[in-house]
Amino acid sequence: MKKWPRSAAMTGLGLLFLALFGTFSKAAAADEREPFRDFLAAGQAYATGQWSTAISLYEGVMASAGFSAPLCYNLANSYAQNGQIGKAVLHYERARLLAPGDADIRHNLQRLRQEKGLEQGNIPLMQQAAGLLGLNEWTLLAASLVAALALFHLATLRLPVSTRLSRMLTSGGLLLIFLCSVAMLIQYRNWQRAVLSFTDTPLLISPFAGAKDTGLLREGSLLHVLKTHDQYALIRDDQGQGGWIPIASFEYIARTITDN
Amino acid sequence: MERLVTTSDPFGYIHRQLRAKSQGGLAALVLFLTILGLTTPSLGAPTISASLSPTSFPVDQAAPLTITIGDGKGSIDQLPEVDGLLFQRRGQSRQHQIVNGSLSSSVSTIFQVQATRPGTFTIPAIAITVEGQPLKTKEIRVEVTPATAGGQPPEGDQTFPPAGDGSEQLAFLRISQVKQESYPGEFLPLQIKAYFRRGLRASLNSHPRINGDGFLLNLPDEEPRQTEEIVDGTPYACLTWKGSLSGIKEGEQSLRVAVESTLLVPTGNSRRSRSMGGDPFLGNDPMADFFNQQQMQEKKIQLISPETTLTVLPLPTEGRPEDFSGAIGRFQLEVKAQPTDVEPGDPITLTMTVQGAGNFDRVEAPSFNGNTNWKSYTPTTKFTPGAAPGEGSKVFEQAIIAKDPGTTAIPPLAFSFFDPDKKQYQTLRSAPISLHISGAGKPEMDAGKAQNTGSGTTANTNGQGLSPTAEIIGDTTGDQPGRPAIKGLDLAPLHSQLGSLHQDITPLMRRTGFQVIVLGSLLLLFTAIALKIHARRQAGDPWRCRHQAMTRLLNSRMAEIHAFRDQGDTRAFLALCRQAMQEQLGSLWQMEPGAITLADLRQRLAADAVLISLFGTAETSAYGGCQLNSQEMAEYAQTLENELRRLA
Repeated sequence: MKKWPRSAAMTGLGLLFLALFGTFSKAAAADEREPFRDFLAAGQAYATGQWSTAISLYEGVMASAGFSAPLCYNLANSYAQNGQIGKAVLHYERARLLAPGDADIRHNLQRLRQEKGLEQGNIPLMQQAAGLLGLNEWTLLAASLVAALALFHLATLRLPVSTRLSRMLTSGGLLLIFLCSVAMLIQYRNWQRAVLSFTDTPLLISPFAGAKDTGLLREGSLLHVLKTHDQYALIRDDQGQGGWIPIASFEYIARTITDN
Repeated sequence: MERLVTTSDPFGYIHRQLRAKSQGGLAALVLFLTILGLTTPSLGAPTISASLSPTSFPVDQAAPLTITIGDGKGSIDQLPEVDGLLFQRRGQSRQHQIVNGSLSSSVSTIFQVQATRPGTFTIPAIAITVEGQPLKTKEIRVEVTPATAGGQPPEGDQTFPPAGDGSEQLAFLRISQVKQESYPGEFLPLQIKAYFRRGLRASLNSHPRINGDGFLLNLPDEEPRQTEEIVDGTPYACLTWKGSLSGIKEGEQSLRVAVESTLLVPTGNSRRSRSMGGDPFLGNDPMADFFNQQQMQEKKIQLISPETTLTVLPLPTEGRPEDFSGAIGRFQLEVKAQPTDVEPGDPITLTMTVQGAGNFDRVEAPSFNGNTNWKSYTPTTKFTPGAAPGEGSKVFEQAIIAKDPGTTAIPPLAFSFFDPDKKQYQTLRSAPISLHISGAGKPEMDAGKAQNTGSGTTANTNGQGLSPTAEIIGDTTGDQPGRPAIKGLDLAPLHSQLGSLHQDITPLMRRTGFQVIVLGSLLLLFTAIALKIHARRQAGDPWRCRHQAMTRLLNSRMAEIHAFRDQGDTRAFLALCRQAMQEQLGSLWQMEPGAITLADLRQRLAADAVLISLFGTAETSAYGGCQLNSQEMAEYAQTLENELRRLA
């Protein structure tokens, strides 16, 4: 039996690896192109005023590939143009969670709320301050401070650092961590909110179909879900208005892809 | 110059000089007394007289009335009230006369007589009490002729409505004629004039305001212009405000403008004390204030313009463009872009100028949003007012970026407004501006439509209300049945990049990997803190410090002992072993290591202690010499180390 030289065997293995890698790469690239193609098609549909088409395409991309800030934003724009305020607010809020600093998202959400009379009123100063960064940014900042503080104290085991400086840096670090934690708590509460995403819904005094209503919750309102009972949830909106509404009438802002 | 006199009788000379001087003084005294005697006033009966010169004058002029009191002191208590005549005190003069050796004096008070209308008037006898005697002047007949040509009211005044009844003659308010019909928010230039009789002293307590809630009055934040005008032959100080008016409620609205003012009016009838000219609003005649303060009183009044009506029509809904922002007037649009030769991704500054006349506060930038091929930013705004009220130009500068490198032109921009004269909406459209982007593909637009000047001129449409948004976004019907699409939403354009995709929208703090990192950091922090605390505690324990020092020293010595053992140098080996024992025991017993002897060991340690024999061997070697083979040295070293470590 003819013995193949070792170099030839190595070359063969390399070629096989490259072929396999190329095949997988192509498949992966094809998978990646598919959502992007639909994303572009949705943009074209939006540009020509076919907002329902744009919505279905964007929803398809979201269902198959996941969430991204531009995707949520474009979908929200499509819903807004199509008159579906609740869905538009929901996806703008999702986009805002993913990209809290995006000016376009803020602008469009603000315009939509102004247009539909969904202004949030006076936001407390603490919440305004917490809103300077997103939850993830606050979290990263707090974690970085903890890590920096740990490294500093480890370093002081070997390096001579004055007690005063050490105490000062530790106190400052702990104070900043505390402030970040407060901001995180405020922002985390916002992540737990839901949006009345379909139509204006009456607020019921009890979780039953025939219960009396105490007011009307407008589509696109932000809600805090306090508890649930059967098919109803006890909610409170930003203005402090509370009552029971069907669970099916709202959607949580922060959800996993399988929840949708 | 003093003359030098030489005489034999000096005292006689002095006497002569004194006599001559006394004779001159006496003569002067006699002359003075003579003159005084001759000129003593021959006070006769007091007299009064009143004269007006001329007795005939035009209505736009005045004539002085002189009341003279001769040979006595008296005061003019009251001037008669004459309908149509006004008296203004101008001053007082005193005259002295010597006639045939008799001195007489008189005091003349001068009044300025003005008439409010032409006609014949009679100034009745004026009663004056002089030296306790009541006296009266004669009646004076006055003929007031119509105003001369130069005193006619100005032409512009014809546009103002009449002042009203006679009670408003001292002060009144007029507004310029406004249109009979307008639209909500339409800019209507308005001129307000407040008239105060010249010489009257007045102050303003408020800015003009509208009586009612159907209009908004907008006056510039500046002082009114002050002029003098003659109305119906009467001179007035006139304050003029130029501003604008806009209706806010539809329907027929009553329009009246009011100004609060305070007048300084005389308390009595006769002394119409007024300042002698000057500024009636500032009262810059303090002397007049001083002399007249007892006779004047403040009177607050409200000047109200004659009522006029204005119908505010609703803006037509038919043909209203989607981008109509409420601008009403007549406008022109000019659009420029700079630069027009760019690299992909380079920003272009779009300068949009809306100029004309109208309610510029409602003029918004022509919308560039909604065009997905462009990224646009919020425009900046600058308004420059024109010469006339309501005129001006509003310049918007907006940065735009072409997303598609194949873009060859900036699309037309549109601006819609309502023309109140034509009573229809107008949409101005700029021409497309050609653009060259390096590496651009084939043009997508009709090149014939684009201009290569970097600017787009306006084209006035037929007012059909077709907005550019409608052209860009196309037909919107058929989507989402039952839900009206939101038209006119000024949304930022779509994002062109898909971005990084996530399978869920969960916060970082709930992701396992991140939690592990944070927990690790926390653990590290607590560990570091614990270690620091431990180190600090150790640093404060003297026994532990000594123990550590002993251990370190023992380690060092044992290394040296092993070295000598390997060399086979028994003497040095045992000497070092002895030194190591002395050091460790010295530290333990708080003694000088070199002073420790075998006797000390025997005294302090147990009798069978290994160290005693080890120390004895070492001491024997030191004084008498001792040879150990390598195995013995190894055993010795091992035993020593064990004992000393146990000791430490």
